[in-house]
Amino acid sequence: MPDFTFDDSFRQRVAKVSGRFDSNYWRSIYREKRFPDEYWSALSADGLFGTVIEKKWGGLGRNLLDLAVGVEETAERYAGLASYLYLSGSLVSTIFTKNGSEEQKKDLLPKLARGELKISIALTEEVSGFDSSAIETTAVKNPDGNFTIRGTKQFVNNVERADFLLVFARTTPASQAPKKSLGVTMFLVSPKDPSIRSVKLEKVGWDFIDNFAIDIKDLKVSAENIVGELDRAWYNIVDSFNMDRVATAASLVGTGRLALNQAAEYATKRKVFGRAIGSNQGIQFPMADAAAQLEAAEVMMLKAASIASKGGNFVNEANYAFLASEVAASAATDRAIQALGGHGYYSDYDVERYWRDVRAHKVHPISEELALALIAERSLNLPKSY
Amino acid sequence: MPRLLNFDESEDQKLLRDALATLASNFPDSYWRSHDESGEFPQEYFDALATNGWFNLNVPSEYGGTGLGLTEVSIAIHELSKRLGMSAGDIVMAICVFAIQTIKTFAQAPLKHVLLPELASGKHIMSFALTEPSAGVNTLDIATTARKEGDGFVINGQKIWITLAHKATLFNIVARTTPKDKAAKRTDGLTLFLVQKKDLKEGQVRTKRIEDISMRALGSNEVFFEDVYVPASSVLGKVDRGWDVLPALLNAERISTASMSCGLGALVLERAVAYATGRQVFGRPIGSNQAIQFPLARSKVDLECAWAITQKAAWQFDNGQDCSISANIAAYLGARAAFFAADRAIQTYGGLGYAKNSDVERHWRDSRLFRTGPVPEEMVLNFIGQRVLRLPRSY
Repeated sequence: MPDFTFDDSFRQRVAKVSGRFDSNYWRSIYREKRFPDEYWSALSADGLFGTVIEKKWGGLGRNLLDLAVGVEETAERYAGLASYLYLSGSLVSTIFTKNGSEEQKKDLLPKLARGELKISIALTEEVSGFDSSAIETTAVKNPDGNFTIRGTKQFVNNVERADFLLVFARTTPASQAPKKSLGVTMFLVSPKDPSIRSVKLEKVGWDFIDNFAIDIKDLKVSAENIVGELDRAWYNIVDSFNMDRVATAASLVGTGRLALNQAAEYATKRKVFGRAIGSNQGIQFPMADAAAQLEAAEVMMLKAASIASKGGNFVNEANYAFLASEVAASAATDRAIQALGGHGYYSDYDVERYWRDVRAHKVHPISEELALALIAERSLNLPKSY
Repeated sequence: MPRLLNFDESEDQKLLRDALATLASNFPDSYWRSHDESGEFPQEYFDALATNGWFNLNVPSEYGGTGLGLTEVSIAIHELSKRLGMSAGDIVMAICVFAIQTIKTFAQAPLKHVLLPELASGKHIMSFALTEPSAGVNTLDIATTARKEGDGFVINGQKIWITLAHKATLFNIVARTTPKDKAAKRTDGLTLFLVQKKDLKEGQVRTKRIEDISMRALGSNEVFFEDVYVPASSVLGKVDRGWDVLPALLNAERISTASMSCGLGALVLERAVAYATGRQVFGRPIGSNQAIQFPLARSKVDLECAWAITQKAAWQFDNGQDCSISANIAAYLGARAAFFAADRAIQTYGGLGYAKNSDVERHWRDSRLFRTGPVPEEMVLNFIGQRVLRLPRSY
């Protein structure tokens, strides 16, 4: 039967590490558009990148629920969506836990657990957008059994600092595959290979990490660099993507709360027309509405994480949690700017960067529209609308 | 070993839902439609609940009941509302929450012994008489008085928006035993009384039905109490300390209305989806249009999230934890989710949404209630603003 008994200890562990990085720290990171090395090192030192890595590989052996709670904690105090680093730094390991060869697991998991490796995903292309099966990057098998990769990728994080890129490429053309979701394979490659050229992309937010378009011209990779099964990348990665959606929901809940807490503190102190502006319903009510939405989104996020941690089917709940938390965090960050009045527009007061960051999640990792379409199709059994 | 939260209902709870589904199948839409039209109480449905032991659900085992908690009551309300609409769930709230939950926790022993078994067997309908014309959300301003007389009290006053008062055999009346300006603490001076209609003389309780638009089968009333004598044994909790009784009752009420909202929302969503799947226009189901489909998907998300936090609130209540934040949020979000789902159901139905015999307009009217009562949205936002965000009081 429903049971909400909660062991707080893992959250407290993350809090001890994350709480050391306050708003002043994050403000300077964003001002300088600098990768937060100190934050990364602190998470590494406490073994937190190994949250969902099994103990035999040097991880903490915990589950998605623990990771989600930890991500929410670090987002709320005070990293906001920079919590993405903890989220992705931990979840990338699941790709190898599920699909890696013994050799790859031995080679990568212990290092990932210690935060010694940065791996970025190179999937989306200009031509494909959310229609991932339409990617055109190819990996052609050579007579010697190795592969040659050619193509372009968009929106790849951290290329200049990454140790590896996980490139999705077609090993079988869509027209020749039994269905279009087959034929794609994952390859682990080094971004430093001269056949990869990258261009940094200027963006609205996420100032803590750089993002790139890359061009791959005749990159030679060994068959040993294949991660998972040939032609079955989508099936191999779907669990990791669904987990990512849940952990992203956690980061959105935390960021929404970070924004509201800061705005509420301001609204309690700031006096205009002889009284605290927070006592005006025009200020208070929209914030309270956003806070209510965040509370409910959090419960749905915990539900999705709990089902996932028990090995159940959590696809629908992951989508509900992602959509609910994105809508709630968007409202929260927008109302936080509003509560600060003119100050909300200035970087010194922090709230503008939460709003800039959260805006990305209306189109990433999937769009709001695609989330609604997936829910309509899978949860309501309505016809596909596109 | 990492611990997990569990959201899955137990096998027993699933069986509970199955049994209610069977009961519900005997009361089709036409039954509810005609009772909504006539304003007549759904006696057959009430009797079916009683006969099948549903009012036993949260009666403690020492009084012959099943001894379950608010979680199971919430599940029952949710399932019945999902199958039959809001009035069906509201009846369970009236008996299991207003009456049984309150009486088993706060009534004095002799009354418990008599009333709990009677309530379980369906002998009573209970009304919760709190609201007054001048005291809606400002509970401390109620003007109904209970004057000490001999071993008891004499109650005089007027209540409004009292559901089922015209059928009630039991009333839970909130009255002032000490005037506001003489109370030791701001929240002192209120007392809750359990009054049995059978103990009253003709004319001491008068009800006047209000013609309204939600849950018309149950009906709302003005209620006038004139020189109603009640013995001291009818006090729920302590004299002057009614404020101690109210939080549990009001939180349980919010969890119940949240359950009704989530159930009703699921009902209208299912109808809308079924219609959108079957109805073909321009050569394809209208549900394949994003303008139809996306709002329904959004409703699904909102309803699922509202139900999840309702489950949490019920669990907190049953486990002696403070559920006020979860309960208020569940009631607030559930009511809005249900209302907007019902609105989208009307829209999805096209012109047919306007026909009374498609039922969606009835559910839309019913769903509107919980945005205003038992607690209006604005007061919930005040509560969250102060409790969660620690903002200054706005009123």
